[in-house]
Amino acid sequence: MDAELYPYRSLRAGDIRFAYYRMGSGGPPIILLHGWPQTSHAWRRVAGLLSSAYDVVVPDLPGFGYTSKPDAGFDKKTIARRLREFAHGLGLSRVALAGHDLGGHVAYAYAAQWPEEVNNLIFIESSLPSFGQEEAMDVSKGGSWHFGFNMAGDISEELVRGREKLFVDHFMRREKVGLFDANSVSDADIEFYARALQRPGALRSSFSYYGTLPIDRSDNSVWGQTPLPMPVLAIGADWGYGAASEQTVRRVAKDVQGAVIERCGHYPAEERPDELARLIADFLAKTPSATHPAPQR
Amino acid sequence: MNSELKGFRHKLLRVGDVKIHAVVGGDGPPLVLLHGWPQTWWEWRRIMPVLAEHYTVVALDLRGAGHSDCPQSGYDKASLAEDVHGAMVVLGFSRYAVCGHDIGAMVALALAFTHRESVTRVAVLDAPMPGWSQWEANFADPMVWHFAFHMKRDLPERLIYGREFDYVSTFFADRTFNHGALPVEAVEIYARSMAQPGNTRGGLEWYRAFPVDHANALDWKRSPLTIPVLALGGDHRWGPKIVAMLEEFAGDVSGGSIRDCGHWMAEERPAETADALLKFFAQ
Repeated sequence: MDAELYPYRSLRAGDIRFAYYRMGSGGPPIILLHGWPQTSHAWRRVAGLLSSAYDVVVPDLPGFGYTSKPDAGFDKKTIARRLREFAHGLGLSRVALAGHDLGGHVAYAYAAQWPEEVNNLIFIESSLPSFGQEEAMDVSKGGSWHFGFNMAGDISEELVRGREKLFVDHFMRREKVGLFDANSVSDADIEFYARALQRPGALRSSFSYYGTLPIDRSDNSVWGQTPLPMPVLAIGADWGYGAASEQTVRRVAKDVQGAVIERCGHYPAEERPDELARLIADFLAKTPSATHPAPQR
Repeated sequence: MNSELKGFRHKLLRVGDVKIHAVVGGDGPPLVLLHGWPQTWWEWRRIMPVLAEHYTVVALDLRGAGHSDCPQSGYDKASLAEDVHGAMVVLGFSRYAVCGHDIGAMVALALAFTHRESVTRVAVLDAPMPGWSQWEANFADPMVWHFAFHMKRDLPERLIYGREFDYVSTFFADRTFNHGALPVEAVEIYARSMAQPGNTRGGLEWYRAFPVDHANALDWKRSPLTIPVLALGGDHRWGPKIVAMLEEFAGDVSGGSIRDCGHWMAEERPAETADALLKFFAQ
């Protein structure tokens, strides 16, 4: 699928106008959440692969892509609440959730607050605040510089403005967890993400996902006292964060399976879409939603 | 950036394979002043005339800053200290006192350890020291987010390019208590200096050398300094912690905080800073 050529839809949910695409029909619903600094575009390959068996819903998260860029509420507790309003707006009261990177943080916040509404959770290339992300942030022990930069406030926006393509290209192709095969993402894809970051409010929103990490840390530490009840699949990439996804998930869930995709950087949805789609489909087939009891209300 | 200060002469000193820019004036025993990031010798302008009444003051630009050279390597604090010692030798001084601020304070401490025979007293102004027991833990302080950014290779140069004033002015403002002390003209001097080819990289290299600096300092502190050390910080920045920090490196440490002061001591509180320095060096 070419960048920008597939149809987006819009849905108002609360004070947010969500942009999303939806593929397939009839199958159980799965919502795919992108990471930073991306958009729903990151799932373009996987969404098509899953659409034969699933109702695949792929939104731009609040602040990203064509979805509204609110003034506030970038802590993942609030983002998850807004995303749930979006899901309910589509008539989806029970879903499978897959989240990559910061999308994984949102997926966890959703599953932890409304466990009876999330049948399965797929957590990809991410570490949760309070449960392992701190190690990825500790530069004195090899952690990444970008956490501090992205949390620094207005100055980070000021430095990146007009240089969004350089910035995205750097993260996807140059960082130590970047793509194994730099050409698995085209220049047009990089442009697509860069243009999304160029829209007014986009950099502010994008960095606000980081500025709110301390709030997420305290929310997670409370939620984490109750292990997630649903089956969780944690997927890492050997050239990305490796086993970190599984390690973080094991601290907040009981029923955990882990997988690591090889010859793959931090962006498996784009670099290894077939393998990622197969892992997701196998997991969903083995852990049908019926095994998770319906909410008693 | 090549701003003049009445009574002081500009010199370009050949030290090994680099040229070091020094501004020299006054009478008395030699005292060398070492600036920090993102600054140049100009940060001392408000206290240099007072100090020059009692000392031969040498305010120099560190390798990588101002009018000094910006070579490809040699930015660990021991190498920067070697530049300073070489410059002092070229000027004819074999024994001298040292005062450093910020990155310059790290250089001052390195110089005191690597040239014990030459450094008579050292004043350390408002900075964390590599080798400090809290050095690594300190990276988690949101106020030093720039450590990790500056240590990242290549990308910061690209992001700062053409936006030196925006970056430097934000950096100052976030760490200033007395905002009247850093007028836009002063910030422009530092920003234009940084905008010279090589200088952005040069300053960032000081941060990229931190792992080497930390390892060196851990080694040095096993034989603590015996010379008097003044540890002084702004009460809104490093003041409350700096004496205990320096006591890890030296047996004879005095100092504390200057009131109503942020990180930019010689500019925010020049009278109080000069007074503390004169008292310390006169002992």
